[in-house]
Amino acid sequence: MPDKLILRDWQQIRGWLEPRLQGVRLISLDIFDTVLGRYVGDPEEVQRAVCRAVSQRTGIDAETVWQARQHVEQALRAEAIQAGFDHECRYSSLLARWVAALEKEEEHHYALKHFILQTELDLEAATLYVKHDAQIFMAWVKEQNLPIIAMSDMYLDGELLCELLRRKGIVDYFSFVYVSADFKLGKYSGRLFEKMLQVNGLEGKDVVHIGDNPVSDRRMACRVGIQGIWLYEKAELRRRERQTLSAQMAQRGGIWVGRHFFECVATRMQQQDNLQPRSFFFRYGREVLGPAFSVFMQGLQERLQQQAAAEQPIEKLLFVARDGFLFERLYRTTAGQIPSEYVYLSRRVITAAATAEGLSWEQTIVAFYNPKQHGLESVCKVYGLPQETLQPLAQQHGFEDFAAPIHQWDDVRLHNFLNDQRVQTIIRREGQKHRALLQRYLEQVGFFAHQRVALVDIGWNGTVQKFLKQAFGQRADFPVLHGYYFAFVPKLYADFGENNVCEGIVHDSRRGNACERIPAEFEEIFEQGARSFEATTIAYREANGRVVPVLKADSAPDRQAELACNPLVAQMQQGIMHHWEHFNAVQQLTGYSSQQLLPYVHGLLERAVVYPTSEETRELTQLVHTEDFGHDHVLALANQSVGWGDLLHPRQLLRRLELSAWRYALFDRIPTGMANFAFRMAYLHTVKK
Amino acid sequence: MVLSPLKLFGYALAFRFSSGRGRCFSPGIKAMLVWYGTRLRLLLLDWSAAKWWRGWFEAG
Repeated sequence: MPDKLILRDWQQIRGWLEPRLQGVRLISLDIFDTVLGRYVGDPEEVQRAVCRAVSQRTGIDAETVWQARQHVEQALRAEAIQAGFDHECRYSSLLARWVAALEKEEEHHYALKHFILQTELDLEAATLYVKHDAQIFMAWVKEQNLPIIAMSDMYLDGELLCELLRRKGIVDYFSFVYVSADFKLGKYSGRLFEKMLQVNGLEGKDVVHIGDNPVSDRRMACRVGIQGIWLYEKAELRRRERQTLSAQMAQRGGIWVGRHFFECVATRMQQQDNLQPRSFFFRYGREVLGPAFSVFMQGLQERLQQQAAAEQPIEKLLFVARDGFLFERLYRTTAGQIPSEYVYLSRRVITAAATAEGLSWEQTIVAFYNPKQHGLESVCKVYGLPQETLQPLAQQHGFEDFAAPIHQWDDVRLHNFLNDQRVQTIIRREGQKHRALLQRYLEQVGFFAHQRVALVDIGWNGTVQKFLKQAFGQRADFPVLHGYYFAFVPKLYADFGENNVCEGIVHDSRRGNACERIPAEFEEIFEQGARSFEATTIAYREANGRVVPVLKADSAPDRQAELACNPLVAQMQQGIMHHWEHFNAVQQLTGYSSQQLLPYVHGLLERAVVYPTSEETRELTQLVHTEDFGHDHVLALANQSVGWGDLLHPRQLLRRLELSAWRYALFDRIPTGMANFAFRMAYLHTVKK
Repeated sequence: MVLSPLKLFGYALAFRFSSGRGRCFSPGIKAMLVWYGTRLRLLLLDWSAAKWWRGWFEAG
């Protein structure tokens, strides 16, 4: 009997094999967990996922589909034993009986069989990866002109296993594939090895077999005279143990579901990408923003499906500029059937149209919320009003400096200015022009041509949705409008009117859950991650009979800052797209809903926003934030870090914290994260519970 | 980046000490104990190492 070898990696196997090559005529490899690894711990998860897909297609309960499969499989295995074979079952036989059990109408059998087969292969392929070292070993064996065969105890037919190997790009290494299902003989009984030797006309001493199972791949191989090698990869075994534990914990719900899910995503990404050097912004997109945006997109898809199931389907999806840009790109990678479009809308063009009936004092002071406001000049920028026409009239009402900040919002001069009919006539005339162009633009993108339209955007107040309804809601063809936001925080408006529904998928302040409000603590980073590279829309104009957006000029100071940041944003978005690809593959497999994943994602965002690493603080504060509300200002994402000495001046410190877009980044110089924790607690005390 | 349950538990404590609600991304003490207990058990009772020794004796 040959040596019972235990070797720890492919390098050792090669070292053992090299001096013995003369006596070897064939190399036999186990496939699963030897050449191919799995992103998920249990192969049963693939079968469960197939059952869910069948359930969706046929309307039969997933558990019933699963039970039917188990029943057929057990029957086939029992029959094989009765016929004197090992307890093996072939997928093609299983499929025929399983489909017959599920579908009474025989003419539908072929289509259902095809669907199940493709789904199973797709999901299997999605869960498997080729172990890098194994591939190097196979390439070396081929260089030695030694044939390699695959030997697997597997329920898939040989040709299906070949298809899997083809999809993984390694089928050409193998001259033949022996699968227990084809012969109804397993490695675990030694009979598949005997069969292989018989078919090839070889003796056991001519063959070396390598596999990860000490019984099937070593003991039984050695029993028939083949040199069996047990590949004992400690790290891989540990990883599988952890995966299994993670899957068990996921049964408990809460964050454990998301943790299991994102562990699978991380493993998948690592296996496919670990050799690539990646920039910080790519990694940040992949590991922080990627999970948040992916779960948002999944939530969006679920809501669209719910609408369709309730026979109130969304007919058109409008991704709102500029932060709907990334969502539109992500949506395009899905098999979504709803027509979608990226629309050039901004708070600026919407508010400009809203002045068609004149400008009220309430509307005016919106421009003063910005701490860097320049009085009436800011009002003109926010509402797209002509400064040169209004300036002389403002002077008559006592505004010597048109750009002087107005801190007293109840200023009598301001009231007099707004009550001046000449002022309101100019504003109305301008507003009506804006409104007419906006209306034509909306008609052009099919906004009024559908009964049910959805707006998709990052958030926060739903200004665009609110003003659209206000400006055009009286039209008979105004659609039922659904707003799906990454985070919805309606601080400015409460009433959106009839047939105008808003929902925040990752965060909705109306749900009153303090734990989920984390996106609102650092809105700017989510906007940066999702935004388009184009400038904001400041107006519309006519060109060749069509209405086209007018974007802010590249010469504007805030646009200059944006252009400088665009390459970093592009890297972040590449990372997010990368995450989304793996997210989809794992989601298909696990079937988890966005609601199940959200608790973990909130924890992930809490870590990123409240407890950033030094690298995150250093790199992210390179970004500058701009807004589309008519101002030209840029907002730095963090000010100078807080030091121990600052604690001696609590008032100044508080002021700095209040003004900072990313407060928690200020504690960068204080180690351990304790300062962040203490400030977080203090802050949570001050906000509405 | 996969977060450890202990870190999530720590982050959730800030909510527990302020708004009184820290459940949404807290793993829960019981579940966390099960997690770390099982990890410890896997470390101490190393089944894969036991298998290796079994194989080694068999080989001998």
